[in-house]
Amino acid sequence: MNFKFKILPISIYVIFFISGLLASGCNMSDEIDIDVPDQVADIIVEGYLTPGNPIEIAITKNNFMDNELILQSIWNSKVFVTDKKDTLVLLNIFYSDRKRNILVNYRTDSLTGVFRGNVLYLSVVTTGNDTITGITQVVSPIRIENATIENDYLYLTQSITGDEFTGYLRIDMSAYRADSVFFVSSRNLDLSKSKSLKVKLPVSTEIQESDSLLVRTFHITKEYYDYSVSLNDASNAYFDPFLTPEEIKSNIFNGTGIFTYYTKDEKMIHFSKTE
Amino acid sequence: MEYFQIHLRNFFFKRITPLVIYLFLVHSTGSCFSQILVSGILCDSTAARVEYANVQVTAGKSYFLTSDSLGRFFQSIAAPGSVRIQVSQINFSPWDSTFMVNNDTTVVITLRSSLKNIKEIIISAGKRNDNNTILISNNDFSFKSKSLGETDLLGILQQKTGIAHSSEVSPGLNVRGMQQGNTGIFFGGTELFGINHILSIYPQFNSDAIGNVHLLKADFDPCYSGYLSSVMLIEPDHKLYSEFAGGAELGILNAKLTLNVPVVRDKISAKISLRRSYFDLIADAYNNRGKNVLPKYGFSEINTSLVWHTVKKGIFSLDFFNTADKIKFDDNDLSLFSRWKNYLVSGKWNVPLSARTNFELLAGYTRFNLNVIFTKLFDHAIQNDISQGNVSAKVTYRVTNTLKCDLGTDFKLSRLNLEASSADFGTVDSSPVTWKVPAENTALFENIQWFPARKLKFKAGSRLEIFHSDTTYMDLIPFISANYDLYGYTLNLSYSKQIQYKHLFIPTGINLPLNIWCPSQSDVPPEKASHYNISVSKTISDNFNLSVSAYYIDLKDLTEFLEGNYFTSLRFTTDLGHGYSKGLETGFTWKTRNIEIEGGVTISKSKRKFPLINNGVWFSPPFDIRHKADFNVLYRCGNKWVFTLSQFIQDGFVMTLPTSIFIHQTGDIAANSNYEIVPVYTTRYNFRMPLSHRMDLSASYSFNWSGSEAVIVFGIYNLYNYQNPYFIYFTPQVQDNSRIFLQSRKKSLLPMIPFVSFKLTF
Repeated sequence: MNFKFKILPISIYVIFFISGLLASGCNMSDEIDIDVPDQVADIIVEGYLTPGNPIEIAITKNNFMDNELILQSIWNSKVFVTDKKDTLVLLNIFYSDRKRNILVNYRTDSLTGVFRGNVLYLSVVTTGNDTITGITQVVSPIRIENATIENDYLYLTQSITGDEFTGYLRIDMSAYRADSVFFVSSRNLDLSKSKSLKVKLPVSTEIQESDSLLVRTFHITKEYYDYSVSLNDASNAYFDPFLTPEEIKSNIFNGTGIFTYYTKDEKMIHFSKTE
Repeated sequence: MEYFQIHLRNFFFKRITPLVIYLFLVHSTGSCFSQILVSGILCDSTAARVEYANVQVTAGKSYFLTSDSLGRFFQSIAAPGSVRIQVSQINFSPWDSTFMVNNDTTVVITLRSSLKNIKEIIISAGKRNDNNTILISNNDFSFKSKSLGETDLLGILQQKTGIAHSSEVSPGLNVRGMQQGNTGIFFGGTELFGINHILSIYPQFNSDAIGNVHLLKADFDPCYSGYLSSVMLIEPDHKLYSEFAGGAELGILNAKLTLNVPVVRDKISAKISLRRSYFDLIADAYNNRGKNVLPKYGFSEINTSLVWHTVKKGIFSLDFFNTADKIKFDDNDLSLFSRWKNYLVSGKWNVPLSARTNFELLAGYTRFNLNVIFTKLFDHAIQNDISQGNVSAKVTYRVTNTLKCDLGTDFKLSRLNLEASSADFGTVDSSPVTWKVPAENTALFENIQWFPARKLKFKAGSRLEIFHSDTTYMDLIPFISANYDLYGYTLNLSYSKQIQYKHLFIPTGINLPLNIWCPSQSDVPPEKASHYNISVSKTISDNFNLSVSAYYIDLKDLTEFLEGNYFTSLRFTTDLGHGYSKGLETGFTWKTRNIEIEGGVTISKSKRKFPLINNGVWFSPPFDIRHKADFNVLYRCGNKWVFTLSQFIQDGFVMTLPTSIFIHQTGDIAANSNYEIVPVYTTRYNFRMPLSHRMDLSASYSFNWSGSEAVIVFGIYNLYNYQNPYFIYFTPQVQDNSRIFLQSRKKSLLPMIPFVSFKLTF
């Protein structure tokens, strides 16, 4: 017993000392000057078309690693969106659409949803005569039939009107407490195998009685799903470069980005937690 | 009569004499090679050589020898069989052991100055130590440099030429510019998958349970095949103990207990080695203080060996290896629980059938099982299970006095079972995604060793492999090598082909238990390597040895995995390519009674080419370490102190940096900020990390404590506190006039760490 009382406190002290060093080592980081690999210039296009909103597209340049971190807008390009019969010309206006929470620089006031055919085409010609094109499928409207929360999970039942379900959804959740948002989540779901529109998602365990949850479901294209997943994987690789880096899966030819059409529906749930 | 005498004399001189001379020469040459060389090295408990000891070798008849100034002795015996060695020296307890000898054998004997005499014997049969074949005996690694107080086998191997030092988070061996999965690990003759204690600072094997370790970088043995780069053979400790003995060790990383049990004196011995890490206990204590931040990680490990020596029926051995690791992490956003286990059972029977024939039967079973569960914000579950059973039989036949051949067969049956489920990617009714791949592997192998002259040795063999999964592959794998001794130089030339039928997916880039072994299939053919090797070694004096090796490895049908997000979909997208690895390795050792200095320099280059990666342009894989240098010193001060110092410097690993970034916006999102910085990767493996180097210093002090031998090891890891870069990343930084730029930063892991451990041998 004497042995135990004499030796153990010392060994525990040593162990804690070393553990502290190990833990401190886990946070060791320092600035370093490196020669970054050859940088490649690119044009980034992001256009999210959805019924009830004007066609809005952001066309920018990518940033080199040593550039200032600002949105580098591309000006004076000729931008067209074409359906089966008509072509719309977009104007070069730089503004922030607060309702949709995006910054865009090309727009037309023609509302989407009046297009004919199932496919839309994008064409961009820059002042440097670069031609960038994109194509998207027009997807069918989606509707939330039922949304409930049980045991920290959201159970969502949806329906599609019109044509076929693409098999891909984006589901956003925003939890409100006293008019302020304290939880936000956005998930892209691949349901292409099951084609089921019943979804179960975890919600924040911090939600309490009297909180509200805004659920928004988006019927999206496969191209948009792939783009979102590859962005997420690329960002993860950014923080851990030992990950296999992902190339951005873009549907923009001669550039990078996404030109897509989605439909959406939303529902507010007043939370009642079930134990 | 005179005519008859003359005729007889003429006949004798012209016909008989040449025949007699020929027979004499052949016989003398033959007998020279037919004999088996038993050599030994005598050491004390600090690994210092014991000189001028009396050695008696008995194999039919007795030979009386004296160890030289380096503690060595040599004796040729006539035939395979039982050999008894007795050692006596005035300062040490007498030593006596009997064992079976089938080949040229080196015996490392540790003599004890205490009254208790534990029979420590390390037998290495017919293997030499050069740049191509590395042998580390138990006696060696007991006194090699310590990593945080522990003997780390992989760390010791990484000090050798051609093997890169891994980072602190990625245990494994990158041998000659190849991936970790290209080095096979055989424990007692049976393959081991997925050995992985998180962080490479934890030794992956308990050195107390191990006898010898061989690493074959070239000049492969047809018995052990199936890996592109190299083969690591771990031989469990199969000593016979005449008395109950054991040891206990307490270090900063884990605690160990070893028991050596003589079940039947000089016939059956059992060895049990246990190891357990502490970090989970520390995390528990820390987290109970209300700071729920430390992940709770721990592992336990059991090694047992049973060995039975018989006079007529040979040697039986049974080895069992089991590790169980567990990590648990829980905070408000994420809950992680993961458990992974390794099981291995390997039984071997080795019996001489006659004076010329030896038979070996090996049967084993190995299994790696991983379960990972993420809950809360993510609901993912992953299960990875790979198992393999193997049976092999080998007959060694000494055809003539200069010709020996091995003939054998082995059969392996493996099962890969992957299962992934993810609630947030599925529907209410979703079921887990599963992926099962059964595979069988049958092989016939033969190996011939021929000694046409005293200084010339040929070795040739081949292996006929038949592999079956969803398709069948059949390959003939040849091996050939020649050794020639000229004016004290030993020249070795070798060619061998290697085919690997299982591929290691490393989705995170580092060696984690999540990595998946995938058998070859119709769309993922086996990978192939052709090794060309030339090496020269020279023993300049009794103390100094120098070796130089040059190699070229041609690689074909390599598999590279194109997408990292396997675990939610189990979709594997691969590309087929080719590549090469070449290099020059120079090493030296200088040993005296008190000082051992070992160093090496490696210059190498490894390139790959895949049609779908980097537009089909040649690139350097992450483990392409172009330059590496090691310097290790061991100094014995008296009988009680041993000091070690190790220093390495090597090129950084190759990694991928983005070639630009862009600012991404998500349409119609409710977040406060909708501007996400996304890196754009247009090329892979486009950046080499800065140099990596480290110096470790350790000292051990042996003393007698209540009749038992005690050793305290202490030292400093990363002596000059250099922050080796683990990875490079970028963070936004506000500069003049509130403008934001990206600043590159390096992440490092372990700073300077002092360590101490205490070992008691009873």
